[in-house]
Amino acid sequence: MGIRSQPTLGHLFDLSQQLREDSEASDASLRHRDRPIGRELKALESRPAAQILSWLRRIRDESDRPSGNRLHRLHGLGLLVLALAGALVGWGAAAVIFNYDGTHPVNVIHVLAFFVFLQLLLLLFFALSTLPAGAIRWVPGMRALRESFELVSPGRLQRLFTRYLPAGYRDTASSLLGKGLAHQRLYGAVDRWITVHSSQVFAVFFHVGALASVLYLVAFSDLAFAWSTTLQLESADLRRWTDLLSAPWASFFPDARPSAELIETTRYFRLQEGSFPAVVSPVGLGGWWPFLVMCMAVYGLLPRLLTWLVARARLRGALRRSFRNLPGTGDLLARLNSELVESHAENPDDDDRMQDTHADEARLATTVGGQRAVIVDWSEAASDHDKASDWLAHAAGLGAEHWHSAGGTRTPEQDQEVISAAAKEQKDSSVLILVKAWEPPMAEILDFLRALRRETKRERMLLVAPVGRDASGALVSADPDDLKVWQQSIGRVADPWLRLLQLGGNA
Amino acid sequence: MTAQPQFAVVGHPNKGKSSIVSTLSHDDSVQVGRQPGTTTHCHSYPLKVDGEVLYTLIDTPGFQRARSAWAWLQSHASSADRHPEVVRSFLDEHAEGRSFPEEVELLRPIMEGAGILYVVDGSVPYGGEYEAEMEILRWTGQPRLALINPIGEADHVDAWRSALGQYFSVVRVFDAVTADFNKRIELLRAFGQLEEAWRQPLQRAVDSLVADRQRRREAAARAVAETIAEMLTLEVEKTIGVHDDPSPVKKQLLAEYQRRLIELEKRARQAVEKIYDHNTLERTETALAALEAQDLFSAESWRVFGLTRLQLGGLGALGGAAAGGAIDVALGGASFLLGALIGGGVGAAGTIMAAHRLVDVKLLEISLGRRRLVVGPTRNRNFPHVVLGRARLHHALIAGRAHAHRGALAVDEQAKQMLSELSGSERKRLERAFGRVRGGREPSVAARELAETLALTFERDAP
Repeated sequence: MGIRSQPTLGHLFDLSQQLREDSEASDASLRHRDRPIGRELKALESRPAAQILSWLRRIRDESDRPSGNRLHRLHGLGLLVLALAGALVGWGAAAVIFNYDGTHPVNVIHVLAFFVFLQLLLLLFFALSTLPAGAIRWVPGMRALRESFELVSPGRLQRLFTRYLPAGYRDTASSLLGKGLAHQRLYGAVDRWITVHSSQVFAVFFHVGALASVLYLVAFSDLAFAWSTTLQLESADLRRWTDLLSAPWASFFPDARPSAELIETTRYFRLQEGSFPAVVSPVGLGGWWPFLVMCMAVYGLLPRLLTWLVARARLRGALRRSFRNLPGTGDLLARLNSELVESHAENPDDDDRMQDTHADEARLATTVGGQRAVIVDWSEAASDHDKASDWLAHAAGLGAEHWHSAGGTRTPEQDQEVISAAAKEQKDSSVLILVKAWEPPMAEILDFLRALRRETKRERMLLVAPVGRDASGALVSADPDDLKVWQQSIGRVADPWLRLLQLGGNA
Repeated sequence: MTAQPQFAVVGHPNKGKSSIVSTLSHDDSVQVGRQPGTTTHCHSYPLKVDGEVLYTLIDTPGFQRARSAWAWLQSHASSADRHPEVVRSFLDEHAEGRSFPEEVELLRPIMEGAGILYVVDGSVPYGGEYEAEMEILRWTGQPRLALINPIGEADHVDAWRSALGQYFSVVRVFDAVTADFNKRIELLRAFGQLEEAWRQPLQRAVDSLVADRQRRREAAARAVAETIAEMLTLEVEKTIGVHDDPSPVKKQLLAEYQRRLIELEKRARQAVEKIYDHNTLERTETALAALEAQDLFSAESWRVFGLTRLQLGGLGALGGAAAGGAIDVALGGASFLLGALIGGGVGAAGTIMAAHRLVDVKLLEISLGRRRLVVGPTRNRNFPHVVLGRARLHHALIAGRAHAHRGALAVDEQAKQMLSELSGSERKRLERAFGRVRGGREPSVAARELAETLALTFERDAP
């Protein structure tokens, strides 16, 4: 079974509504929804309209919003009403023009003027009005002509018709018509071809009604035809016209071609005595009808059938174009036909990925509070202890009592030895731990500080001094951002005699 | 070895592990911070293509007690062939304990088969404290790649390269903040060097990412094209009485017209940022704020992005009022975003592109003695080129921006230079597309055609 690719007005409405709803949703959710459908519809990738239509059917099946379907039915109903109206008007027009009350015959000239020449003129206008916009620009007055035709087009009755619909239908119709007005440029072609197509439906049924009316009158009454005109028209002239008009069917339907005798004998003048030419037989009086019926069929109904087919094709084309080019369809097709690539966290909100980093910050010290201190060089923060001592003397007025090295490439056992030694030395002086400011404070330095505290008395000041290095490797004061990080981490030890020492100056 | 490759991103705390993950996974929700211990548990970032996982990145906590862990391993080792087994014993013994929570957490995925991406900061000096963790990683026996991620300005890359080369088979420099799409793809390919079996899924991943990049580019082009179409057809109107003075209403409508255009541009930008998964861009600093301060009507925008008189002439666009605005502003030669423009007063002082030069105001007679004042649509030929130039710059910045970059966007002269000049034929093609949008009954069709042209330009701007 082939996949349908012709969208209806209802589909266009549904698609527009769906895309509008989708514009509010996140791209990720839409891609998750659409990509699996796209994979199933992969065979339609080269037929975007068919693919979108199939997608729409699946999406709308899942929801209970029959608006598009309703609109489609409504449009059908509108066409039916127009067809009925056309048939009625056609029947009525024919009944008037073919009216014979036994006094005045049906004037063949009237019939030809109304059902042939007027129709041909209307067809000409129709043809001109359907020229592409680009062509119209170059024909003076064409735009005005087209607009005026659209104004009087019976297709516009559809709009009027919507006003008298039941509430449910009326809402749907007005939302589409409202959209048509608000987004004239978006739906302009569809809107225009709906009007043109509806007009052609009306016209086709007008001619059907008129023909039916004539056939009815022919069958159930006794019509008398004659011809009369105030124009300077001789029988021979009329003959030429009737021959010309009947040329298409003359070869296979000769009875529908008026003979010279019929034309000559059915001419009458209103000012003549009596109503009809006395010499004409009753059969002769009715001899015109096959010709007139054929004229109405060939010059009225047939072209309208053709214009209806053209209008229908153009409407379908406009629907397809609008359907394919609604804002959002490009994104939709991309969602359907592009792989769904995801690289985000599997469970982004499932844990405590942010630790509580709001522990109290360590208190800040800017001086050592004494002339001497035990120095622990953590992880080779100061590679050259002599230069570092000079710098400490300059930066903090401090004389280093003893240097110990811990962390870095040393083992935990060696760290423990440093702790024991530092605890025993200069018990009244502070212990200064020099650390690399650019390296983050890790658990092992915090473990070291806790262990050191365990082995020293509670009030002994432990100072952690982050230091930086310049390009030559000399010690410099730490970057304030790094200091902040250290201050927060040291604060987690919750030791009131543990401070962060801010050292200033270059070595 | 796992069926699909997994990569544990490991290292010291605060050395850019999460930045690497953020950039490689296009996820700007990954926590990136200065405080150590931001990441406390492993987090998986699988690359899924239509639901199929092609590889997984695992963001791990940093080492906290590497020396102690290394001491434990050494104390339990017998011979080199048993090293991975000893690491497994370490995990078993400390799985529930509190001695090595971070080490257990980060080593577990490795011992389950993940490859190792060891991240260091190339802007700080190498130190011996890293050796314990590198030794531990070597003991796992898993394929290993080292990434030198220079976070700061100083350059210690050579020292790091030399040290890392002793522990890792592949050493790469990868700046998570500035890495563009192609560098990310190169890195993925490098992962494939670690293990033969990983090459094929990684190549598939690369192909999918390249196709996904193209999809995003086209989506961005559509968003911009549809916005330009909307801008070019925008009208604002108001009905006034026949005796009412139209001047105040005109002023009001012009302001409204400008506001709507600016709003449309802003909407397109947000769409482009969303398309590239940049959901948390900052606008508080000068950079992007400057691009926004230089709104569509600023003299600078027109000077930088508008076409010159000569270029317009080449498009046959000069003549009449159509290019009036363009002629006025195209004479200056100033570069984009001079310092003074970023400062205050730019918005008002720079807005010399008076709206009346941009758009016609029509006063139409309608029935019942009322008149309709209509502003727009613009017929200014330079206008869409200015919009497009600004959109190109924004797109190039967004598409080239790594997800680990959390600072504000830099819109400066250098950024301006990201955009190559359009060729004459490209300009003409664009001009035709603008013309179709303006004149056609179906601008959405024209917008689609414009989007196709734009996608090619975007590809050149941000490959």
